[in-house]
Amino acid sequence: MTNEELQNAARESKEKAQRAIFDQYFSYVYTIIFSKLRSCASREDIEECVGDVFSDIYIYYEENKAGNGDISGFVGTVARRKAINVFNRITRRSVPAVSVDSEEAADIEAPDNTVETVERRELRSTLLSCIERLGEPDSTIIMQKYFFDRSSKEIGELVSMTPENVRVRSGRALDKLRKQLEKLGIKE
Amino acid sequence: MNDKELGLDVFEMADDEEIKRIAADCPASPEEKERMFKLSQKIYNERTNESNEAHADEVSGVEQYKKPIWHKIVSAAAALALVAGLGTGGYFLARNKGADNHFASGEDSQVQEAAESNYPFGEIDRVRMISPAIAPAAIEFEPGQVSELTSWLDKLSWEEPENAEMPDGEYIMLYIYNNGDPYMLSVSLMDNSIRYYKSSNDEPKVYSGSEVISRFLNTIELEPDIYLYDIADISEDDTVSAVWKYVHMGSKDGFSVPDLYYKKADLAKQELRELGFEYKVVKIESTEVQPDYVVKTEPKAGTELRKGNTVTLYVSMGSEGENVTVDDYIGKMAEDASVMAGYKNFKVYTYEIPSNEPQGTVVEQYPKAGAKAVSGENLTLFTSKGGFTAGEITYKFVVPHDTGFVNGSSTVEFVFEGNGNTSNEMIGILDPGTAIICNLKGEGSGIKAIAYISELNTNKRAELGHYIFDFDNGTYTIEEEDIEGAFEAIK
Repeated sequence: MTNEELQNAARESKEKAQRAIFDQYFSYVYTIIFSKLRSCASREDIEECVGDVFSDIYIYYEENKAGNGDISGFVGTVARRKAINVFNRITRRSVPAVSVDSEEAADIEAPDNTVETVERRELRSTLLSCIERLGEPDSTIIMQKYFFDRSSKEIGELVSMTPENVRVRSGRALDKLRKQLEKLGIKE
Repeated sequence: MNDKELGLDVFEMADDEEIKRIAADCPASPEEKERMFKLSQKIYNERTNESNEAHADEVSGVEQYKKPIWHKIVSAAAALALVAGLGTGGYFLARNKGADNHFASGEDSQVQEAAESNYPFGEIDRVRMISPAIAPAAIEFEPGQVSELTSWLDKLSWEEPENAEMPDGEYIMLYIYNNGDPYMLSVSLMDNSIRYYKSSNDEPKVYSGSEVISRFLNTIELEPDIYLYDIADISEDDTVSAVWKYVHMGSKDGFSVPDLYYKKADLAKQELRELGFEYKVVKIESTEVQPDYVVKTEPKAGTELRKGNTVTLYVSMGSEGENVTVDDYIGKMAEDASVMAGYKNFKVYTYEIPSNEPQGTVVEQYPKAGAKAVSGENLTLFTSKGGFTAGEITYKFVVPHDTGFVNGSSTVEFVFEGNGNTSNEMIGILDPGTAIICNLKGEGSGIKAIAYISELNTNKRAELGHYIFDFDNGTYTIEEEDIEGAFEAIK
């Protein structure tokens, strides 16, 4: 969605424009925040963070800082920053200060471990493709169950199936996925 | 298995492209979404109030009015609307002038004075005309011409003459779309009478009509470059609706068939579905196109079709798409059977089901032994899980052919004889060769039941078969079954 399209939505009311922004970017923002916070934050924290991000986006947008054209890059940046802030707040990770002159300094690795970064990216991309290849609704079930940590009942509501069938399908999809990954030499 | 084992936590570091792919899987329910939207508004309101108040404290003496951006947007929109308004006004002026050119003004007045309209036909939204000068081609009216025709028809006073004979001579056919409920008006150029057809096989209703209509129709320019050919196939039973099968470029519900040559069949299906077309798949041999890719479509790329029309995909099965006979794999171990089936180039899918046979033994197969199949097809093997639990039955069948249905919209329903109990199972994608497995619970033996399949997309329901369930032994016998027929019926 471009800024221009948004302005058309805003023609009628502020609420309409806000809803348009929200509907357009909800999945994107939610996924960013969830992926950053899933290991440390509760569902409530995550939902609050999503609300926070959108309120920020409305305000920035209102002040026309979002510029013209596609605003998805802007939305993504806001979401990432907020998520990192919340992550740091929750885990209260203090950055250890080490003197450059101290002996430990030599042991500290550069933050960019290129080989590992590339490998991980490769892994992510393969994994994602394998999951997508499962097709619907299996890919959704797998992602919801193992990434978004949802119960079979909740997933059932999303994909309109009974929880029992979600369980059966997810088991089968997992087998299928595991076989694919084995074939690619990713899993033992 | 937990997520650590599956390793999905690597997505915590996903980059933007991957995030978008993950986000495609609708991560939250509508209620959650609504809750977060409300929350975002609440936080927004709190913040904007705060900042306004803060502002008021700081500023003294000077009244500063900060016009919110929403205002700018609204004024810009208003300005746009104004320009658009000017545009339409101009258009109407031009059109009226045009109308005056066509008709001598005096003659029209009597028609216009006709007390009130008793206009008998349906709505006129789109019109296609076949006139003797251009038959069998047709032309589609421009929106201006449609509204002009409508206003002329509306002004007429409609009478049904008592002795209406079909005059000789030429006719102009006006096919009217009427929101998908088409009808046809045939205007006689001899006596100006108008015949209304709901279907070309019906007896028409005759109206006396008026010279103005014929005259108006004669003013329509017949430029060869706007001709629509091949639209009214004479062999069609009912030309009234057949005319609308092919859609003129630029119409809102018409799309041309995309070029799917050398596209993977699955992607091609997806693309057709998104355009609102139905599809069916025909497998053909091809030396040029590799298996599972589209060789050609019928109608061919570029043809304009309406939503809901069917496109046939000719999908390659390779050059050596030979017919083979399916072996008997029952009783063999799953691994051996898979290897053997692999020699015959089958794609093997195995499903575990409860059974008394030793674990891993093939207990059932589809297609059955002895059946003719094409190499490269799916072969489904049901293998034993090793043992069963009393009171549970695994009902199963294999989706026989491509249904074209989207996921999650089919159910299998069991109606048990005697106690009238029913059991519903939602089933997912109906891919051909996929085994559908329903786990049923119950007790006793010799229980008769009928299984139905229903499809929400078509709202149709059909009988899969009659069965006798033996819950004590975890088995069932088939009294009669027609899976193919059932799938045909719910299409």
